[in-house]
Amino acid sequence: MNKKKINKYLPLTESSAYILLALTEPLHGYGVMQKVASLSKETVTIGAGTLYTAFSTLEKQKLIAKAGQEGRRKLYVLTELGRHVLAEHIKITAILVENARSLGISKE
Amino acid sequence: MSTVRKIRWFWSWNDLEEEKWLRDMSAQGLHLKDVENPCFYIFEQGEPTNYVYKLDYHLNNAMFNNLGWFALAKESKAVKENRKEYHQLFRDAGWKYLGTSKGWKYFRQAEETGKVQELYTDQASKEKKYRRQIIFQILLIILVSVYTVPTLLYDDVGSTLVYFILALFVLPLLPLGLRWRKLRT
Repeated sequence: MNKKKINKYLPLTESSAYILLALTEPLHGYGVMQKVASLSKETVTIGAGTLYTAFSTLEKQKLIAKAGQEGRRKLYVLTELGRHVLAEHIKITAILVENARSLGISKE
Repeated sequence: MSTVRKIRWFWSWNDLEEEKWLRDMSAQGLHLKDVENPCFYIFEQGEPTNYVYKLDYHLNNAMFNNLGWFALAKESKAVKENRKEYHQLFRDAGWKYLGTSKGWKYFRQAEETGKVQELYTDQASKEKKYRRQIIFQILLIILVSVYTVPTLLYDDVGSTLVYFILALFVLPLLPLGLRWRKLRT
């Protein structure tokens, strides 16, 4: 995928990165909130207002898309573009973490 | 259960103070039941409870809530769908919806220690909330100018009044802008 197109969305905010990560499977809003809390070991919480605005922004950017409905709740899922953007973000972050470790900033 | 009515003026940029006021009322056993435009509050009397109150602001609400009589277009299906989704998400997250006033939606939930009870949990989305308010205020100023400024051309009776009305709409930009800037940096 076009690198320029991907870089347009980087860097992701912490919440956006976790929302994208949670949406590797179709989930509704509350599911995302719970999954992010557990994935991040409670280091990142996402409020309802933040999530609602993030959903509409990410959907407009075509990083996520609607994926049907579960009762009254809409489901969202990562798009192909979203997956590439997230992967690039993780790659950059991994390099940062690697450097920090070798300099003794962060322990394994 | 008995209800109490209260009248209070609420500057629309003072959402944090409004949240605190409602929390203090609940601590005294007066729990918000409904808000009515523009500044009428209905409280239900009960046991003193620690509630967390939060206000949220979106342009759609503001348009239809403040400019209901201006809005020529009917609410589209997409907007209605969006609002349903919004309310479902807030309900799931434990927020009880109480009412809308001046474009602000009122929510509350019982306080729980150790739980993050915020609607906006990152800087970026907090900043966007105030940006929405500023955009709406600018829309209002444009609208009010269209109605009032032409009268300045041929009428000297209303000029002071026109300036006064314009000032009333322009002034809120100052506190709003300051808060927005603080969040940006």
